[in-house]
Amino acid sequence: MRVVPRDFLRSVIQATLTLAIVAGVTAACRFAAVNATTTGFVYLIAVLLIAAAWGIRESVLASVAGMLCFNFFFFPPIGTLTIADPHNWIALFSFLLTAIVASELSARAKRQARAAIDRQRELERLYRLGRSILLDRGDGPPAQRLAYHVAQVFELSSATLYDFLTEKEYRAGPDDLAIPAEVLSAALSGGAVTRADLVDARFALIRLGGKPAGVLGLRGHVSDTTVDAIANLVAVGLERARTQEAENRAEAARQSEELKSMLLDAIAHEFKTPLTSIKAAATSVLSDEGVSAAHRELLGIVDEETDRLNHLVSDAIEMSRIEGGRFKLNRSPARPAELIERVVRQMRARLAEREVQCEIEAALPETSLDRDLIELALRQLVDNAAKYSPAGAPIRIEAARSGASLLFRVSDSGPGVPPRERQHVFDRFYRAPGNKHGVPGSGLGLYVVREIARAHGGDAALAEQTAGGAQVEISLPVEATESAHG
Amino acid sequence: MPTGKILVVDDEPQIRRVMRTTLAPQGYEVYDARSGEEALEAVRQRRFDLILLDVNMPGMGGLDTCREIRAASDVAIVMLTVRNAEADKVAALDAGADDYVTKPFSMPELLARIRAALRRVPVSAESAATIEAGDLQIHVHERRVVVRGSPVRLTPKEFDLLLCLAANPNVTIAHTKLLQTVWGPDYGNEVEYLRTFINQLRKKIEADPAHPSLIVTEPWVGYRLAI
Repeated sequence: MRVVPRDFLRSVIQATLTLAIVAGVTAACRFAAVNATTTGFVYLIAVLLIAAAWGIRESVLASVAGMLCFNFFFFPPIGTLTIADPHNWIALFSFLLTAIVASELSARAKRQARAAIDRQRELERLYRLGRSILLDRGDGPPAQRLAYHVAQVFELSSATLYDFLTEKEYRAGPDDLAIPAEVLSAALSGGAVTRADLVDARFALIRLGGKPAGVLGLRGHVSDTTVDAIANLVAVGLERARTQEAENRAEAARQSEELKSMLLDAIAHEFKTPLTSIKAAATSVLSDEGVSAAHRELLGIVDEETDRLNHLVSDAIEMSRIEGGRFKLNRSPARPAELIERVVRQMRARLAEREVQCEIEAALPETSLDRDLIELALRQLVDNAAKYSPAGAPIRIEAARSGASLLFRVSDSGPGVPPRERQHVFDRFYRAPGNKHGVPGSGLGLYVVREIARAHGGDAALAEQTAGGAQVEISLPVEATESAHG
Repeated sequence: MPTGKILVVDDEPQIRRVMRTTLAPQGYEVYDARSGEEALEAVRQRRFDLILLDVNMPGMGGLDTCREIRAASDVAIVMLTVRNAEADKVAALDAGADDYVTKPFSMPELLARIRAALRRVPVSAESAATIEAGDLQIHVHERRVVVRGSPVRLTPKEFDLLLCLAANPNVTIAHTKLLQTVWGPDYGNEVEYLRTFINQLRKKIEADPAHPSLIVTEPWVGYRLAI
């Protein structure tokens, strides 16, 4: 309470000056021998001026002192505090009443003026706070920056912001104000955030979208309405910072996805360029009629293996694209029989020593789908069937209509999927425990198949096992394809 | 033995080498360019019958090069794309290519594509010299088209497509028939070619390409020229 002595001193000086003015007025009127009525008005003017200049305390003092002097020096019997004429009593009390009412009015006007000035200053500070929050480009946690701006602009001894998101307290200002745990728990449960024992500290709940987002603690000279206004500004600042952060994260994710896609394109180009030269050269010689049968056979192997390598590269790139979850369907109407035919043709070398049984229901409708992706999914299934069944065992590929769905089913005659693994085979990177060393693979195949099917609004699943072997089904909703035609 | 000047545009020296070695014995005169910029320069200096253009090149990409060449010339263009995605193919056709081949390709396939791109629909001697369809005049022998009084420049494939439709006006011609007539007997399923080329034709000859009145789509079947 170090400000009190100065206030006290000022009060003493003002009281002394008040008494001096009253004494001066008395002396002047006495000396000029003015009549009692005029003297009364001069006293009144003095009281009003004092009220306007200093306040109610001084003006009441002046009124009382003036009344006493008025009585003593101007009402007969002069020189005593007694009053002979009852009329003079009335005059004296009228004077006192007028003086006090006038000084109260004047003091009220002054108080209102001061309040208005305070209000204006707080508004200016709020405006400045709003500006600093909006223009803030500083480093560090946003809550820390907000606490700093609040303390700075309102010249507070302490401003502390507790952020429920990071569960951390951010302090600013010369004093350290810790927010008590009770206040935090009260804020979280939506209760009032005040503390009787911390008289000089004020707490306000920060809400974002109706939910408690933090607590603001302030120590210093601010009015209650201003505390609320500051809390609102801080809420805006916090929301803005969080939106910005979310945007930055999304932007970073997008950039990393873009980088991945660029990298994949670069790899595709790097691998395919030499493959192109090899295939072009091999097929060029192959098409020459003068090539001997043995050379034709050997060049045929070069050609086929180039194709295989090419499909491996394409599929690996396509699969990692799908695995990243960012791919767009490029639908066009397709006939199921044609898709299966193409897949079998592409995998000719892989299926060389096997019987491939294709059972395609007659009159299957054209379906709108992404040919490249569905072919990739079918290649994965056929490749799996070849991997997990004995060499030379037949593979069945079926296409049929089932209700509103188009069904592709690939079956092998291998050992099938053990019951306890059935629910895991579609998981990303899942590989059957016994197979890890035996059969090569990434554990992405069935996951990608399911992703492709789901992107089409369908699904992929293991069929109920009937006669041994694994059966995987892709079901796709049959959609109208009219719109896809130009 | 086919003849013609072919410009091979690819930044990869090995691919240029294979092309040169394979195409020259086929009777083509082979030139090459290492970039889009070089290709544009070469096109300014010499008249080529066909350009084999790689899509993926540093500097000016293949698609931009294709657009630039197409803006000034109706030379046949076959693009070489790396990715076998529908969108890439459509982009190549939209840029003005007559056809595309996906890398890696087999040589017989590429040779067939080159022959198809160089191919022109033969005009029989007894066919009409001029076909008129509303505001449209087709001067068959000069391979010239006039729309609403002003001449229109069509690429050879666009002209052949229009001619194929105009040979039987008001009759819907099936996708397969159009593809085989204009590109050749190896074609038939490439409906996206037709979509792109018909769109380009419409832009050049229709009064309002968004609401075509000359070239009418018969969904699922084909196209017809309405007179």
